[in-house]
Amino acid sequence: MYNHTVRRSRTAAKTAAVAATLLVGVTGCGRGGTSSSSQSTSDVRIAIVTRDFTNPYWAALRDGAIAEGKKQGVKVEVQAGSSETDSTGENAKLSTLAGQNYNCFGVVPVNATNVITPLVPVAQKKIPILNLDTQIDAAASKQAGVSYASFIGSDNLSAGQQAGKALLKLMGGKGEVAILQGIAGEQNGINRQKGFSQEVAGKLKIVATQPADYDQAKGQTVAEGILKAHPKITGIFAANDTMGLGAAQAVRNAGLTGKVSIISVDGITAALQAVKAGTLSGTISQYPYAEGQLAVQACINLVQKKTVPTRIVAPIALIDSSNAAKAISSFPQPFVPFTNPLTAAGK
Amino acid sequence: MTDVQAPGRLGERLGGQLSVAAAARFAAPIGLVVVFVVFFIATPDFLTTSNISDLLVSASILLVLAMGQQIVVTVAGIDLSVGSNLPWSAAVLGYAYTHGWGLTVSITLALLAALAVGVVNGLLVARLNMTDFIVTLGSLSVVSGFTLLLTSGNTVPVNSGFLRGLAINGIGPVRWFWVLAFLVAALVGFLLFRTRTGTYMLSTGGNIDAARGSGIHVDRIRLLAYASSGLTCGIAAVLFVARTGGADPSLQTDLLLSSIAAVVLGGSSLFGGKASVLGSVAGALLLQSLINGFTLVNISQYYQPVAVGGVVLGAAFISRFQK
Repeated sequence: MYNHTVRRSRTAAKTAAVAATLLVGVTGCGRGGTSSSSQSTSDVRIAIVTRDFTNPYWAALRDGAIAEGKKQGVKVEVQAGSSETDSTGENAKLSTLAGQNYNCFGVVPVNATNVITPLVPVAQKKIPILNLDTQIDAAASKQAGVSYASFIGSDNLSAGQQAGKALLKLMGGKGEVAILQGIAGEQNGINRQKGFSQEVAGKLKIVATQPADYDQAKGQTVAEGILKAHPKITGIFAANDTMGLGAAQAVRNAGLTGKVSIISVDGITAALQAVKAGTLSGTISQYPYAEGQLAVQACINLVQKKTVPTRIVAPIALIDSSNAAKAISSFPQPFVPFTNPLTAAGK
Repeated sequence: MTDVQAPGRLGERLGGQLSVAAAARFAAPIGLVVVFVVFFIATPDFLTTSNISDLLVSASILLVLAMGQQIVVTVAGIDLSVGSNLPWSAAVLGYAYTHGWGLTVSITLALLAALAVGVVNGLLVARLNMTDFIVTLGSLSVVSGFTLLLTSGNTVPVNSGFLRGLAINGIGPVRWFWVLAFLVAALVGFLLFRTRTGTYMLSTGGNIDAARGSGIHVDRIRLLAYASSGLTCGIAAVLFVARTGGADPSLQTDLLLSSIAAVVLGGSSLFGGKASVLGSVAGALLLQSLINGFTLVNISQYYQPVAVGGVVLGAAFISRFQK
C-alpha cells in the first residue's frame, strides 16, 4: 500500500525505475514458487490452451473444462488465441501461462508444431502435458524433449467413415458427391476426408474437393460454385459444421433442399438445430465439452501420480433427424453413455 | 481589465496545451507504465522475472515488424503486405530447410525473399507512382497466394535445434529474441536519426515536393523504405519460425494490424515526416503487455480486441493535441 502511494507521487520515469527495482525485489523474494509436493486436489492447477473461442467447438471445450474444475474443486484456466490460424497468438498465451505455477497443461495446437517451443520449459520442469484434440508433431516434440502424458480427442478417421456411411445411405449408395475441406494441412480435416473417401470409394463419385477453411461464408460461396459446376451432385460432405451450414444455405438458395444431402462433422448447436429443421441432413457430433471434462480429470490423475491411458478416445455420434431433438436437449453432454477410461481406472 | 487578464489566460491555456502535447508525445511510454502499474496491482503474477522475460520475447516479433512499418510510415507510406510477407518468408525458410539446404542458406533465402517483396512494393509505389495503400494491399494478396502455392497450404515444420535455442535461450537472463529485437530497433533509430538517408526519409515524408525540389532522390528514398520494411519482415519471419517451430502459410492479420497500431501509438504521424522509434517500441510492448496481462487476470477473450482497439483510438485522440 505504501509503495503504491509513493509511486503515484513520482514522475513517469521514476515510476519505471521503481517498478524495475520492485521487479528485482519481487522475484528475489521468490513470489509464485509454491510447488509443494502434497497431492490433494486443492493443489491442482490446470492450464488449458486452445485455438480460439469464436468457434463454438472450442468454447464448449472450455465450458466443459471449467465445469469439471468447479465440480472437482480444482483451479482451471482456459485461454486461446484469436482465430483458427493464430499460431503466434496461441503460442504467446501458452508461454505466458508456462511461466506461472500450473502443474498440468492441456494444449490444442493450431498446427502440428506451433506449441512445441513454449512447451519446452514446461517439459523441463517435468510438468505433465496433455495433447488435446489435434495431434502435435511427434518427431519434432521428441527432438525438443517434449512428451505428452496422453492424447485426448475423438477419432477423426472414424468420424469421416461414419459420415461416409450416413451419406451413402441418404444417397441410396450411388451418385456424385462433393467435399468441402477445412484449412489446408490441418490434420483433423485430413483424417476426416481420408475416412470419408475410404468409406465411399467405388460407390460414390467424388466430383469436387475444395477447401473452405472451416468458414461458414466461404463454405456457402464454394458450395454455390460447386452446385453450378456439377448440377448432378446429390451429396456434400463438409469437414466441419460451419462449412456444412454454409453449404446448406447454398443448397437452399439453389432450391435443392431435400435433393442434395449434406453431412458435416462437429455437432455444434447451430448444426443440431439445422438437422432438426431439416436443412442439414446430419452431423457427426463430437463432444468437445466431454473432451474438456476428460482433460481436467486426466490432469487431476496425473498430478496425483496416477496413471492415465496414453490415448483417450472422446465419444462421437451421428445426429440425424431421428435423434436431433434428443441431442439438443442433452447438449453439451453426450446423450448416449460412453465408457470413461479415467473414471473406470482412477476413482 | 481584459488587457490584464488576457496574458494570464493565454499563459494558462498555453500551459494546458503544453502538458497535453507532452502527454501526446509520450502517450505510449506513459500508457506502458500505466498498464504495468494496473496489472501489478491486479495480479502478483505480472511483475515477475519469468513473466516479463516472456512478455518481451512475445513482443519481439511484433517489435521487429513495427520497426519496418516505422520506416515506411516515416516516408508517408504504409505497408499492408507485412501480413503475408512474413508467412511468405517463413515458408521459403521452411521450404529450403526441408529440402536439406542447411539453415544458413535457408535463412539467407528467407531474408532475400522478404526483401524482394519489399523491393517490388517500393518500385511500384516510387517508380510507377501507384498508391501505397493499393499496392501493398495487392501484394498482401498476391504474396499470400505464392505462399500457399509454395507450401500447398500446409504448415512446414522446421525442426532445428538452433532455432529452438534462439527462441528459448540467451546470454544468462538476456534472451536472444530481445537481443535481435533491440539490434533491429537500434539500427532503425540510427538510420532515421543519425544518417543523411534518415534525414532524407523524414523530409520526403514531411513534404515530398519540397524534398524533391531540394534535390533529394525521393523515389530512391521511398524504394529504400519499402525494401527495409521487407527485410524486417524477413527477420521477423526467422523469429516466427523459431518460436512456432515451423512455417504457417496463413495470413498474419493480427500482426499486420498490431504493427501499424504500435507505430501510431508511438506517436508517429501516418502522414509522414515524424518518427519515434522509442515510441513504436513502447507501442509494441504496450500492445503485448495488454494481452499478457489479460491472460494472467483471465479477462474474457472477447474483451481483448476491444481494449486493444480502445487504446489505439485513445492514442489517435491524444495525437490531435500533438503539434
